Amino acid sequence: MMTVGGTWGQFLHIDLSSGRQWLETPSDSVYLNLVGGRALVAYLLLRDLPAGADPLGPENLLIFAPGLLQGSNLPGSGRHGVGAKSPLTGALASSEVGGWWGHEFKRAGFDALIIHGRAASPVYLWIHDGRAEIRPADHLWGRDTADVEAAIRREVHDAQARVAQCGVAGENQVLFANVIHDVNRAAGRGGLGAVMGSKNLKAVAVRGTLRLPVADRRQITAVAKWLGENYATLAGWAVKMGTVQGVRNWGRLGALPTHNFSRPVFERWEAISGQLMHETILDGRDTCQVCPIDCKQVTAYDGRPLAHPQLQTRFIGRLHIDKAYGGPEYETLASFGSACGVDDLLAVAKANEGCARWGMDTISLGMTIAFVMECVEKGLLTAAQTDGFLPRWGDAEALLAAVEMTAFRRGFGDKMALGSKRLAQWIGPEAEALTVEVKGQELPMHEPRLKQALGVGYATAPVGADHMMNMHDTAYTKPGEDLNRVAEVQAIPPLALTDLGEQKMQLFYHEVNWRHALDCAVICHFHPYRYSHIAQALTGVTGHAYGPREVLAVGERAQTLGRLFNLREGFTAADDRLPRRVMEAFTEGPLAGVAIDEEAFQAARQYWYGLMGWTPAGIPTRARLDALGLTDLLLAAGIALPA
Amino acid sequence: MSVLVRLADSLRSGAEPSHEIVLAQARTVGEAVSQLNLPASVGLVMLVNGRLAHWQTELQDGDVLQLLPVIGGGTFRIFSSARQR
Repeated sequence: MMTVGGTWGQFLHIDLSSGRQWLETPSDSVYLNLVGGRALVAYLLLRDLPAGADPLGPENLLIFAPGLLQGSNLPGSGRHGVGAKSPLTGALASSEVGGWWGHEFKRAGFDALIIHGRAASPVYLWIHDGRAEIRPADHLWGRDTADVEAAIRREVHDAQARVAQCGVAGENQVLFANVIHDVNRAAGRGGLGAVMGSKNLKAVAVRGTLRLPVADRRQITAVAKWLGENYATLAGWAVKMGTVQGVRNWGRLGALPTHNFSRPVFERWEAISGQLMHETILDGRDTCQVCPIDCKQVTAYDGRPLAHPQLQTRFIGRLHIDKAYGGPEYETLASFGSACGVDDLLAVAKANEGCARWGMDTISLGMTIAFVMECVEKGLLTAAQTDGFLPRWGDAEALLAAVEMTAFRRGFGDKMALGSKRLAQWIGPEAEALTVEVKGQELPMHEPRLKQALGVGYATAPVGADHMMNMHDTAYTKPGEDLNRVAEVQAIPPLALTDLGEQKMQLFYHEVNWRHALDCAVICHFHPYRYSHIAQALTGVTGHAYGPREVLAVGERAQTLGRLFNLREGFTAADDRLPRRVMEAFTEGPLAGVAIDEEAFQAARQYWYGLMGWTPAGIPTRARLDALGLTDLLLAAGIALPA
Repeated sequence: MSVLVRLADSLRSGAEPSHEIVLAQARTVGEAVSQLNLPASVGLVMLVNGRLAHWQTELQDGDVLQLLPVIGGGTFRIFSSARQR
């Protein structure tokens, strides 16, 4: 029996350059303090990746990191983390993904997978019940993700094998290529698929049937029972329609990112709404391992005649959408829709399908295309520069062309594959003023002018702009379950969306630590757990006592380690900023005049640094590292402490 | 005094079927929202006379309070003590 329940006591390392495999036996302290996911990714990168390494070089690590709750069958635990140094940003890349892969991997007998080096020719890994094999993958290179999954399942003679893979975009090192799991779920952001492709690693297939020992199963059962009784009420929005209702909510309010965030109003929001999608091309809903919520959208279109008063499409009978590739969520409806001015639902859903088929992040790609459209509108790009590709706002044909050109790096797609920041540097200073990114990662589809603490989160997240490791101010405008959860450590009253005062940032401190803790455990954010539920689950799994504050400390460790990694890679507090565009007031719609106050924003950021135990320059202090138990952990691993 | 509350479609339910509700006693946005039976599991954006408001915003006679649901981590459960009795 391990001294930490819920673990196998071993990380699997594989060096693709030499073919060598070895097992690492982590200390109890690594398991109990870091838990898994993002904290573990950042720790391993600090320990094993040389400073300044090329993200697409063989030195980079590709880390698959479940948490202590994977394999426990706690609802919401069908997720795991993937990480590396990001080729898009040069900072931490850390993305979570749902499905079944994490569960199968954990039950194969390993607590993490760390991939080093670069194979001489394409390979895939087959990991099953305590064994790992490196197999040739030349025959899988260049194929669609669904084909690759089917081929691997045939080869390993297991229809239930779960496959994580880089698509064609990852092979081609598109800087925002993602790691596709189960064909239709993505460890989406930061270019993890490009790292995978750079290693000549096509896929990691897993299957596990080992029974994971946990310390006290009754604790897991108690938390699962609470979730079963409450999810339909507390996560009703996710059960009923899911994320796609966001288009209507923000469209109606005038806070739907439109035309590369230059407008908050998209008059044609009804043509890309979740309601329309549900009434036309929705084929069903999908779910992850041990999840009752079924939040995922699945869309299909077979070319049949299709009519709806809101549907504006030029693609009736002209394209098919394969349900194997899932369907667009809110982020994708907005990034390919309103952000590009496209009001054609079939085109948006087809663009989403392309991203699952070839493995690209829909947010970064949508925002890169939107940026190109704005450059074309402003005359900053010429046909000579773009091989004649000059897309205009709302051009659905160009949208679909751009997705394919980028995945295969054909024509101007070779430049779009760099993401908006590097593309802007290539075009020139006037274009650089139009980018909407933080640390090189494009903004998700949530307006920081409306959700202003979320804006601080965009600026400070260790991966660049991200809406998941963040807090959404709209959840805390009235009494309710979100503030009840926070009240487990601090009572805070309802606060205004635009409030950036000290109470708001205290709330932000707790809730962002919470989101990071979920990404270490790794637990789905849509499961309405309280801090104490995850504390009880971790206690039950490990046999070591956690309370709400210990859970939040896990998230704080993840952020602190991410910070230390980024500082080592040359980032400073000056990189914790928002793009110029969103620092200007809304100019139209119901929210016209609403703006972020620059002084209040800076003060909020500095106040939060203080709450994190960081200096005014954003550097973690020795005192806080001591308090978090990180000093010993870092020194034991030979990691230098900040000066 | 009276305040007119306008509910977006998805906030209406069997318990609160109307688009528009007139409240006679509500000094703040919070007092107004607390008198309604709104569905659980949505976040809320509040506008008073078309301008962004918050829980503590004071209401005047004749104000129009518009309530819009949002998602993104929001869950809440508010029941009217008066109507539940």
